[in-house]
Amino acid sequence: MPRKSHPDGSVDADYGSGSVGAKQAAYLDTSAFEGRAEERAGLRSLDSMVESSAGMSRQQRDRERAMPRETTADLRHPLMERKLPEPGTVRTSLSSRQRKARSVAKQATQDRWTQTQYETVARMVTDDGSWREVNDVLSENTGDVQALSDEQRTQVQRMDRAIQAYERNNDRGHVVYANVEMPTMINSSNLEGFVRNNFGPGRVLEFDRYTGGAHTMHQVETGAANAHRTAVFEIQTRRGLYLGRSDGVDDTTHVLPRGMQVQIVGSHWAKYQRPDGTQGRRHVIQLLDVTDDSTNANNSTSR
Amino acid sequence: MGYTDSKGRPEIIAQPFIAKGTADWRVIDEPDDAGADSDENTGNGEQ
Repeated sequence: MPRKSHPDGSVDADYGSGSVGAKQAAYLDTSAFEGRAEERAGLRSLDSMVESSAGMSRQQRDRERAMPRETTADLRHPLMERKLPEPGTVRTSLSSRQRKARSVAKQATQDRWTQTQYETVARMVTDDGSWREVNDVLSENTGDVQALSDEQRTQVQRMDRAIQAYERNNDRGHVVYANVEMPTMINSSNLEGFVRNNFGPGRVLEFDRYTGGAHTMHQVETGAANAHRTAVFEIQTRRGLYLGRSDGVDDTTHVLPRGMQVQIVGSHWAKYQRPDGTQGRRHVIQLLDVTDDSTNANNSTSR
Repeated sequence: MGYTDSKGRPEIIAQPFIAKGTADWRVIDEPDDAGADSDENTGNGEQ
């Protein structure tokens, strides 16, 4: 078993078979880790070639791509691009107005979904087996949807299109929180050191899988069983699908698309406030969405 | 009565985080200076 501080391998933050509620980081042999990174780079290059192919409609290009394109609408106002908070900031709940606005957008998006898209999203986010099955096969293929069976590819592309339908009408930015469970040898006493050694600033993480998260840190509080080895990704992005509810319910669930690249800004212990006024403290890894959209020839929007 | 869309479908509710923190979790992480940063930026950008 590799030593926790100097592992004989590389940590992939999204390699293990996680749930909607938490990613599972895992050690990979360094040569395997590097090989997968090269495969992803090759897939992005192929996506770029698909985008530059003449005679294909946008829908045809979408079907041929390995990873989904970003489709976010323009930011309506600079203040609506939510930024990563400063380390000393107490993370609080999403305002009532923001929950309402996002809920309205969610409902409008759902209204536009085809029945098959609706059923795919519902199955993916409520059936843990479906979530794992789809994400596991995506991870096995470093995010290449074209390597999947016809049935799997259809399901993934329906999910992609459902998320893109929200993104196309989303003129806001997000800060999304997602749990990441570290390998089993990590505990509360060495979580901080493990994060420091394996999630250093500047490193870019690749998410082959979809990511389940929420807009508030208190909502992603984890059960006691794995809490001691679970950190929180705090992700600034414009991507994804809001699945929370409006003002009356404390639910700000958000699903991020697959194929994202996020750069580590830093990590620290952060306080957050629960609706009942009490506070908690979690180890946060701040991430900035840097997904390469140079493969997206039709994208004229800013992130 | 909850929301249904124009096709009669109920709103999709994910609720992936139902396993909220236990009492132990909350006690372990209760800070001794709660509220110390309450007048700082909320951390949630646009409010």
